[in-house]
Amino acid sequence: MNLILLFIGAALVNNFVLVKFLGICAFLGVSKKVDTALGMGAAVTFVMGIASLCTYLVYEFILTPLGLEYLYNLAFILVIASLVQLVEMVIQKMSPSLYSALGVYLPLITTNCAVLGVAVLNMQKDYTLIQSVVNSLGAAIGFTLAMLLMAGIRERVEDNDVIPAFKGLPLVLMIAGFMALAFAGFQNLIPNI
Amino acid sequence: MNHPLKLGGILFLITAICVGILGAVNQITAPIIAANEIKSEEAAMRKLITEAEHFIPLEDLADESVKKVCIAQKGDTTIGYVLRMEPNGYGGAIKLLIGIDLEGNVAGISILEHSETPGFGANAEKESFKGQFTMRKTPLLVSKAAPDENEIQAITGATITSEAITNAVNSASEYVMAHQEEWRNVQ
Amino acid sequence: MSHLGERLKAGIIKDNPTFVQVLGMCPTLAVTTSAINAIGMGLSVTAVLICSNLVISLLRNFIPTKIRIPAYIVVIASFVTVIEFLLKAYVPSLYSSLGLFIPLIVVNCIILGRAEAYASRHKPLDSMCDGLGMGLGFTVSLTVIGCIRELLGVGTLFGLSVMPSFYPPATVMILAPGAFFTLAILMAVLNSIKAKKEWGD
Repeated sequence: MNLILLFIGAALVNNFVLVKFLGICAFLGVSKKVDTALGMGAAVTFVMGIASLCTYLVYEFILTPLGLEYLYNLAFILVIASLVQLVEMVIQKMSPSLYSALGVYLPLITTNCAVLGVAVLNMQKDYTLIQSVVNSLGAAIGFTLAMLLMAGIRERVEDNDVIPAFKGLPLVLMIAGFMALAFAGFQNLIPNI
Repeated sequence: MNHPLKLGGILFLITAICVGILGAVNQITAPIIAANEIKSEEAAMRKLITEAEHFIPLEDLADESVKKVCIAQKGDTTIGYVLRMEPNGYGGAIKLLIGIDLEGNVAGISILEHSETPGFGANAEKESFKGQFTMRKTPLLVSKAAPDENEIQAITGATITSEAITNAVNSASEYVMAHQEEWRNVQ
Repeated sequence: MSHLGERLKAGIIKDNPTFVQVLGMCPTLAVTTSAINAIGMGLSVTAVLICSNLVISLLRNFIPTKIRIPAYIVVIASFVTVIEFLLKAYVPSLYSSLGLFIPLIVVNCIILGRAEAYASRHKPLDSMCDGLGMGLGFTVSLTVIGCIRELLGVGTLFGLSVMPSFYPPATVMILAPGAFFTLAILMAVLNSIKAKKEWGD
């Protein structure tokens, strides 16, 4: 029950993109088309799930016993960077079709702050292994949802006649603002997280 | 030239140097950070029970929701208690210090850390909300309208935060009344 | 030191990391709820940028191209951790209000971007000037956004009341939507200024 609440909380109430401002670069950069948004979302979900598992193990079984908790940031970013490389190589070998779908997005994920962000959050909140993974998956689903919604809206407004000054990024930011307003409506969804 | 082992070696060397530097910086700053935390907690406790001269932390707490209990003493006599509670608010744990006097009344509360929404739950930090607890009898209830004698006026738009804090205050007072006898001999 | 002037101008105006290059959007939106947080974040990033640019420039002939990205990340992460320790030790209140976004400086695209685009092929002193320029450009942009949001959302500036008492603070400005709206409107204003200039030419 608590895990379900955690999941919904991470996906909707504390949506990573629209409430916590994590992964904004990807959100603004690759949300022009629904297909690419879906690809990026899937790649992030995949990496986030594995990364939260690995960073948890590294923190709990390597850093803590050695008393090196203060190196968490360095350790996490190295884990994520090498993980992304590894995932890229494995997918390339195992499933060329998946690689052609996700391959382009993988290198971008190392510097996606949502991935490092969720690892650091899990650590700061002292989540257990299962809680960490559930929280990360919730966050990743929330990220994908925001990406898809944004891409859907952008596809529709692309050819609209907007004020010249607002063309491009300002319009996207305005849309994001209204989406954030809408997501604020989820605030009372869960009484106590 | 670009042998994988050499590449790995260089990367390892850079990492090792960085880790060494970080270890050194940590050696210097860690005691300052720890001292800061103790200092700010003690300052916050002193604000709640102003006459206290020293605070004795207790060990072996019976209840998991109570994170820490300190007995506030003036000379050798106990004049009150400070409890640290961490109820869940809207955005996560709210770290509270709650001062309770010998009769179980609230001496005051202070908020150490929270991640409530700015403009809503974060207003708990304002005197207009937390000041309501000073010198009050428990149990207290949360009210959205004008508060009665045993009621606390909720923060506008942040009932969850208001209730979390009020409930924590009530259970802090209960905890003190239940265990006060056991603490009599602590020096 | 004409170099320094040129790098500063590039960082603050011509290649402003926020408004022109659109990098580092996460902290730009997240920590600009008040002017003081914005400056704190901006200066932390500036410090990391100057140091990482210097070290990467010094090591530019030593680090093989193949492993440069992980090497840069290690250097940047180390400086971020140092900043984290220093803030925690000497400015704990700022540390707690910036929270998660201090460790996340590591993945701020501005820093890795400058390492790759500038520091890896320029001399140490030039790279430090570049770091200073870019960092200050980032700080200035954040502070502008922070001032606007704090002024409209709370009615204060650097914590001091400046708005007349009859002004009801628009809380939405310091919440998530306000961040997006402020940035959108600022960028639209800049766009129209740019368009006017081109008309003039």
